Amino acid sequence: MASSSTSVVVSNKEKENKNTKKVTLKSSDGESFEVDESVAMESQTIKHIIEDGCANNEIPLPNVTSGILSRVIEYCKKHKEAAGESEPSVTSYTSNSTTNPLTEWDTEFVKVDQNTLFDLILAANYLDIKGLLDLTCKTVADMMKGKTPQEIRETFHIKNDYTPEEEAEVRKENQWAFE
Amino acid sequence: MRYELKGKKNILQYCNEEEEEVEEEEEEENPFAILYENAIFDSEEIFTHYKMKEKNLLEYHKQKQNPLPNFPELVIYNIIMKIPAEYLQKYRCVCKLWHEIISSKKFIAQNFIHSITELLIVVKTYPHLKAISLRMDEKELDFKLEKLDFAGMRMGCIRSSCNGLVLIHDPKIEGKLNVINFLTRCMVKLPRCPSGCPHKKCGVALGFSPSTKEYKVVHMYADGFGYEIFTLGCSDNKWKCIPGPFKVPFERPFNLDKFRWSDPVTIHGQVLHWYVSSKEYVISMDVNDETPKKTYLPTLGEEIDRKRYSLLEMGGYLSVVYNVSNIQIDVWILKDFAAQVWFKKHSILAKSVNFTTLKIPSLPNKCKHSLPDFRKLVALSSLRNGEVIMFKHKTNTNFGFIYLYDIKHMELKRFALKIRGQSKVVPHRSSLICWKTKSELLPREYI
Repeated sequence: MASSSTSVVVSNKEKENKNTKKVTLKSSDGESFEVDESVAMESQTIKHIIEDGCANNEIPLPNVTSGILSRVIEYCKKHKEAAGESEPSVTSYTSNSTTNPLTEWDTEFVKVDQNTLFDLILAANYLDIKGLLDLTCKTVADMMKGKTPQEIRETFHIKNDYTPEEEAEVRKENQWAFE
Repeated sequence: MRYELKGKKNILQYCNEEEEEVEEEEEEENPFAILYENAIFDSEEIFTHYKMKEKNLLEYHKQKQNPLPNFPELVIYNIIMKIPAEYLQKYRCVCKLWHEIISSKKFIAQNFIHSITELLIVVKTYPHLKAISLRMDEKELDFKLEKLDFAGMRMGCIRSSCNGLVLIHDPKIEGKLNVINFLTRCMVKLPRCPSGCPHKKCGVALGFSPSTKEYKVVHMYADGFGYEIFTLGCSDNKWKCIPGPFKVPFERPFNLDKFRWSDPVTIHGQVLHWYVSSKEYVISMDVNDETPKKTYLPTLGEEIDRKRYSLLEMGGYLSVVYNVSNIQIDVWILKDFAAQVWFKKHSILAKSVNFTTLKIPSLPNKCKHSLPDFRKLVALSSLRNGEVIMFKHKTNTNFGFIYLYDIKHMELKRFALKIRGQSKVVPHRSSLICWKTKSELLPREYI
């Protein structure tokens, strides 16, 4: 009995050294989330905090509410799991053949109301999670299809700094350029 | 410890380029573009059916949108980058900043990464050619069609596409080739080939060398002439000739009297593969080193009948689609070009296939709902990054139905749409690449 309890203690210690280390993230509204360190490190921001040795107790995230943080953690968990299994994606300027095995899951993940989507973008930007930022920005970009330039200005709060003459020049019929 | 919000830099530092003035046109859509009798479609109704789907989708998007919160500039840049090029071309007039961003070369390259493959189908109608763009639906096994606008000008036959640039016949001068970008309306004319090829029965493609950032047109008329290669923007404006792939006549796998070179398959615009009527190999060339070599086909355990395989690009790899029998089609991909390692990606088996036919309300169901003979399915192209294959049914008449096959779900769908035997199908991804003078074509920084 004594020997088996010793072996249990040893293996727990081993486990700790082997990356099932946890960190606690605290949202702006005071809720705490315990996650695997490896999952939390999907966020470059959190990664730097941990590496700088500042993550003793909890990591406060004053810019992220609990509702959004829980979703972000869900995203990171799912993608961390999948990362071990899939091929590294091939991206160059010419390739769009990135192999993302989670395309369907991602599509469902962003089926949320617009406010949640915008909050996710801000969180992904703040926490520096590239995959989530790309995914949410792509979703917003898709909403832009079919908008007129004026509708784009309204959506992005842009002031038109073209005079009507200048704008007409930009819009006027293109001649095919001959060499 | 607190961390700053990212993206406080000026948005232009992300593109870091000089401003260029580019002209832009706002076009009026003609929803009732008429296609002549001998065109790809059975009827105008089908064309309208596919066009209406797109219109409804756009209406849906319009209703839902709220204004965006004040995102940091990096986020705005990230969003704009993912808007498809054809919309960005119109959004140049949104404001001066957007114009500058959209004209920036780095932005153009980053935007191109997200560009989705569509198929350009050249339709030989009378009196002029027409081109149709076919785009896969994002979720379902369906597509939408759009007529390609050439500003009312005559269009020549489209041969090849690379990074949004299209290699096209000059519509007025026979035997001359041009390279154009439909979106930005830029064009460059190529000098005539030294061989004097009329470009009716030859193999030509536009490629891009990522290391030297050069666009090259690679042309093969008869291998006795060798390859003729033209680099866009080259100072001497001349074609370069290099030896063909066969050193001695008897090396040729084809019958010299009957064989004609055809357009190669391009992989990422960098590697070209030509069918040479051989059971054993195809001829490949990396645009970087301009050296033709043999790529041996996968061993299937039986002799490949040279008429029963098609070469396609699939998800960034060369693919051989081989009609094994009337109930089986094998799909192989060349996983490793250098080491010539093939991998059987999939077998389409009649017994496992989920077959559907698309109904158009007023069209009579003339055909039975039975699977076609797989030997008669000719693979034309892949779509959705290699997840979907488009087939044409080879029939005794000149027209054959189009089929789409979804590999993951093993779904085969027949469409009430026919395509003419000789129609050319060119995979294309649009980009915002533009130039005012030839000298801007070389040297290049990104794509």
